[in-house]
Amino acid sequence: MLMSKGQWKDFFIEIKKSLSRYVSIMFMVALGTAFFIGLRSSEPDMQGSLDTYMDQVGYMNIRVLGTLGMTDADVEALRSVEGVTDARGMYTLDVLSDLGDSPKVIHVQSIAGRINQLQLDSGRLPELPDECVADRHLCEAFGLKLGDRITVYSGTDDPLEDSLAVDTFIITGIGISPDYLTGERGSANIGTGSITGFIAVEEGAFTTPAYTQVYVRADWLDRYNCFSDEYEAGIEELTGRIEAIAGQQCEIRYLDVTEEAREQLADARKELEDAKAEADEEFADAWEQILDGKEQIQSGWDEFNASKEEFDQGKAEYESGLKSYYENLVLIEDGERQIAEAKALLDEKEAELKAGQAQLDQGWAEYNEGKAQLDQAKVLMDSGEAQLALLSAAADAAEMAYGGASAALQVEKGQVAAEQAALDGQKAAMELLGQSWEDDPALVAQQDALNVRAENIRAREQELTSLKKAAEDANALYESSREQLEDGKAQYEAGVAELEKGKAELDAAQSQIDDGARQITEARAQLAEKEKELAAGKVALEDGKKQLDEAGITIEDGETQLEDGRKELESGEAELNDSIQEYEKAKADAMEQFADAEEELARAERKLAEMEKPEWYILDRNTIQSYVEYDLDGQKIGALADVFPLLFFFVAALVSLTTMTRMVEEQRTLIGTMKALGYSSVSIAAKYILYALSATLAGSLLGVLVGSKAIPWVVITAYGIMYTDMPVVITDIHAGYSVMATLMALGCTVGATWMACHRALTSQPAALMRPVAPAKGKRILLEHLPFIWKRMSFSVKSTLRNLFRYKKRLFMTLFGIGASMALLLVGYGVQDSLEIIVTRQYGTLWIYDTAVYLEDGDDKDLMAELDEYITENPMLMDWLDVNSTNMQAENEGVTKDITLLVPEKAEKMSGFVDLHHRVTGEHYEMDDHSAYVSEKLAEKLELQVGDTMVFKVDETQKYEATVGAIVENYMQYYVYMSPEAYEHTFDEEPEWNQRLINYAQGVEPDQTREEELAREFLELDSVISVVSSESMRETISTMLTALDYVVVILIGAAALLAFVVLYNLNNINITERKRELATIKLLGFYPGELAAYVYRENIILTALGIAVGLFLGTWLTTYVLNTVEIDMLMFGRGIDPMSYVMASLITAMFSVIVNIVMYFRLQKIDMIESLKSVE
Amino acid sequence: MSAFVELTDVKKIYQMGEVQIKAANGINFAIEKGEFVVIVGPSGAGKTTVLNILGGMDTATSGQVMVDGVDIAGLKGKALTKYRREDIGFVFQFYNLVQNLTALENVELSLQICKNHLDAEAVLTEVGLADRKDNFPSQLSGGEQQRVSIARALAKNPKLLLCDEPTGALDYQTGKAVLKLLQQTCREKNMTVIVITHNSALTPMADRVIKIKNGQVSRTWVNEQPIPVEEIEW
Repeated sequence: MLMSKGQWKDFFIEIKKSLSRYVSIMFMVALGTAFFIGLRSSEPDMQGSLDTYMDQVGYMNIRVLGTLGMTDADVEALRSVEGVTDARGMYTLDVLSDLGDSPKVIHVQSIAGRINQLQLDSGRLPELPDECVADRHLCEAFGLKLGDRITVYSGTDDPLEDSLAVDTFIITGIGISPDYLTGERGSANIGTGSITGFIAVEEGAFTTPAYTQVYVRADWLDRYNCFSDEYEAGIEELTGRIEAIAGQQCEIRYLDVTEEAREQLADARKELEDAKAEADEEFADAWEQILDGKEQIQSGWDEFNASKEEFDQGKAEYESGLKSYYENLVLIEDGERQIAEAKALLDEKEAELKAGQAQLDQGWAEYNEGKAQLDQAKVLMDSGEAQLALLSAAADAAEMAYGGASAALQVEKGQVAAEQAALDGQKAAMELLGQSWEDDPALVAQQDALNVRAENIRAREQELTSLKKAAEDANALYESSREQLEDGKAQYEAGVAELEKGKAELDAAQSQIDDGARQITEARAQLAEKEKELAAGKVALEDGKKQLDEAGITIEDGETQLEDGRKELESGEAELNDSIQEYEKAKADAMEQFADAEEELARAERKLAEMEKPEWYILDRNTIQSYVEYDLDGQKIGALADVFPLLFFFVAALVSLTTMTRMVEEQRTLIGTMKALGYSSVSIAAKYILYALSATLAGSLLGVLVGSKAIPWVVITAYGIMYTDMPVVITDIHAGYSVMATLMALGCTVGATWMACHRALTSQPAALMRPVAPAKGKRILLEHLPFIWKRMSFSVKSTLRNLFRYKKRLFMTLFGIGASMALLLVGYGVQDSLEIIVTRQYGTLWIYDTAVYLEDGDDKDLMAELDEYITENPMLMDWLDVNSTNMQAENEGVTKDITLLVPEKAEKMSGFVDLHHRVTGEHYEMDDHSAYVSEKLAEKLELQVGDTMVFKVDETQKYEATVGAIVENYMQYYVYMSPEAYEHTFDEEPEWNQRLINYAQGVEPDQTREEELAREFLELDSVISVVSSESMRETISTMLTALDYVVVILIGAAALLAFVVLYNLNNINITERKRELATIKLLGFYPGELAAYVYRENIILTALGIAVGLFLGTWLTTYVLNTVEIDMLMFGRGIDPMSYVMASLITAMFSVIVNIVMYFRLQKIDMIESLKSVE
Repeated sequence: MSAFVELTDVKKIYQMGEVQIKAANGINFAIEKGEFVVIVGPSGAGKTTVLNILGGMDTATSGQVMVDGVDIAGLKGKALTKYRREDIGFVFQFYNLVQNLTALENVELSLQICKNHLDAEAVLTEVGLADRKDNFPSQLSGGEQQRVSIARALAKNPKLLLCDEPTGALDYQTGKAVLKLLQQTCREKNMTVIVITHNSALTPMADRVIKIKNGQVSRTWVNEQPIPVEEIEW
């Protein structure tokens, strides 16, 4: 017996006493095993769930498609293949239906009996051709209920009746189809381009002659999980057997189809020949009629020409008569004009004569008048002479008067001057005497008299002057008068001479005039004679004219008649020509039609001759997209199990090591006593080993249950957001994983315990029974830096020394908190990386808003129509045609499927797709010879800038180009090239098969508007399909939300980890240092100070743990992303700084929560404890 | 003038289910300032209860505990802690030093929460440990550790120095040396020192002796002529 009864009792009491310790080991183990098993089993559980669902609904194992469709005979043949339980033919058709605001694409499929059974939510399967089971998603989206009707119509040019017997279906059931695991319904080439939902109908609703495909079901394969190798082997076997009959069935089908076609062709040919013969006959008749008409018109012309000749002769005669008439008329008129001219001349002369007479008369009058004037002048001259004599006398008298007066004055003047002189002498004498002469009255009187006389003289002098003037005037007058008279006399003489001369001239003129008058009279008489002669000639001419005029009228009549005849003939001719043309055209048309028909027939014949024998495509479930995706998703989760559980196991080992070490240390005395009592080391150790073992087993059991059931359930449920139509969730306990996990956990904890016991058990009992030497205080490195150390408080010093005193604990805590932090970082980091795919790819890399796939980029008419539509639509702004080709890229033996994108105009590229380096952000413009390679492709093919990469169109066609730059890209493998580089590389011009379109500035259409736009695009002949960036972005975003659950799980695990580790640490700290803490409390530390004393350690450890977690988490995130990364997708690299902050904060929060819990435990420490002795 | 420390009818009753345990059943005594007091009694007599109540580690169920004019029986929670950190110095049987701190640091640890303290190094020098101040407790002998403990209590400059079996874990000679230190301190600094012990041999060195038995003071007396500890044998 390993342990005695007492030991057992001790063991149970021990567990009870240290329950929290026991439970933390249990939890750590549970966490590790749960994660390991959970993640590991998610993969088989997902596969198992899917397998169960597939078996449940009798999902087809194989489906067979034929290039010429499948027939009932094919179905029969397949059914009789060995191992095939059942085979059912089924039809599919994509149609449109007006649901909601716009036409939606509906996938109509026939029900294939017990194969691919629909899962009905309500109602029943259809029993009549006009009944259907409708897609649950369709009903939810458009509020359809049982009994509602769905009316569909064709989305192509082919009428619906060619394929479906009815166009309105009554919903008798609502459910889901196992063909779809997700809400996605796939794509279509009509309407909006994507299928909105399906309806399943009776086979009888279809009128299509051949099945679309045949489902093959082999029930015996249900035994195997459909992801197992056995299943694969079974499928291979079955495929082989079906392939074996494929050739024969195809041959039959070929013959059937060709026979039918041949018959049809023969019928068509006969029909054509008949039509040709009939047409020939009709054309012959018509031609005869035309020839008749032609003859009639010819004879008409002959008649017309004869009449015309006669007429022309008569007309010529008439015209010559008319001509001579006009000649004579001219002569007469000429004569008349001469006479008139002569008359006019005579009149002119006469007038001249008359004017000369008038002048002459006037000359006479002037002469007479001049004579009268001369006579009068003679009279005046005589009177002037008399006057002149008078004037002469007057002048003489005036001369004489002046002379007398002048002499008398001279005398007087002399007298006065003498008397004055005398007076002046007297005056002077008086002056000498001193007397004034004024006083002498005599003198004064004298003087006065003298003055009067002088005055008088001066007046007389004036008179004298006027007298002199009068004499001179008179003399002048006389002289001038005399001169005038002399002039008048001379004039008079000249006038008389002139007058005489004028008279002679007048006489001569008179005789001339008289002569002229006589001559004129003679000329007049001659003229009158001539006039008479002319008048007689004119009368004769007019008579001739009258006769001519009559002939003219007759001619005009004839002309009119002739013209009418011609017109008639001409119209007849035109009519005839029209009929000929008509005939020709009809004939040509007919010929063309015949030629076309002939060609068509020939083509059909050729086609028939060329028609390849049909082929079967035998496909297994791996061609069902969502089936494969589901499997892949499961595998990814499984891969995560490689690293996460290790973290927990490692922490579990550390926790066990520290707690068990502590436990063994606490019980040294007991161990010593037991040893002293003679118990074997193994027996003593058994208690501790068993302690760890039982805790581990209990934890493992819990972990197995939670891990096998809860985690796969959460994972599958999380995926259920994406796989909405996957109703089965199966979570099995996988014994292998459970055992493996338990063994791993046991290895960790029991191993750690053994290490803890080992030293104690090898010591001597005496040594063990001595009281434990308290762990020694030790100087730490920092103390050698006194300038730092001295500044620290004692509590800090103590804390720091404590940290380094218990290295195991330090390690456990650092790693535990670090792992917790790392888990949080992984959660946030994964979210970040996935978000980046969407935000970067659709936000900054692919800038364009929508892409349309072109029918034919070279067809100018089609493209013009598209250009016009885009130009006229205010929502759309700009476009760029591109060539998007799928090919392969190769380097060093690695081959990847890539998309080569070539823009029509390299310079416009940056407005639609931005090429730049992810890290440096450097923007690239495409040059004319380089290839721009997306980042993950470059990574996979190990390409560097400047390397040569190989494009592989097929095995024989390979082209080389230089890598110009490596560009940021997250989805699929892309290579970008300018059109010049494309030509340079492939030696041909790119064809534009896709058009990238940008919305106008500020236009952000909602889903409805985008769908409308897509529909409008698809109505254009130039557009094959439409993909909107926004809808792609939303689809991917929705897929990624499923990962939020993973983050929640990780946060939960991180919290648990942090709590266990921190709780454990504090627990050990408090129990081990109870005495120290009690003392400190006793010393009068306040509760806060006491808590701080303990917490400082936790805070430092948490901070250090967070630092460890930063590195660990970054590494772990990279690992997880690399594991989960999908081939065609590049996840974001690097974690958002906010995520670091969040993870750190949450970790710190866990620490705070544990510390708050610990606070109450600290308060409960009893101070009296410090007084007790050491145990 | 009333006494420096005076306990009046102090009772401490623990309720253990149906049974009442009277750890202190009406204790009365008074101590003058500067006295060296020995409280003596057999195990379980109630010494420790008295110590707990005097030291502010426990509260009395009833009665009055006057220390320097304050009734600490009426104190609770923070006020009681404040009383401990400022007015009381403890010396423990097992020294209760913080292993992680050196001798000097252990003294300073208690000073950092006390206002009116003395210089740590000076106090350590007084207790004769100037040379060992940078040693960790594990590097010191028991007597040295107890001296550190005393230094830690003295440095706070407390009103009352409470010593719980200070020689309990020490050998005879060392114990004597420690007691001598306590007596000296009392004399030189006029410090009120209360030593709790089960060893009646120590009573002659005290100024006042309080004997406790069955939760009550059985007898108290004052030694007019206390004997120096060197002269006591036990």
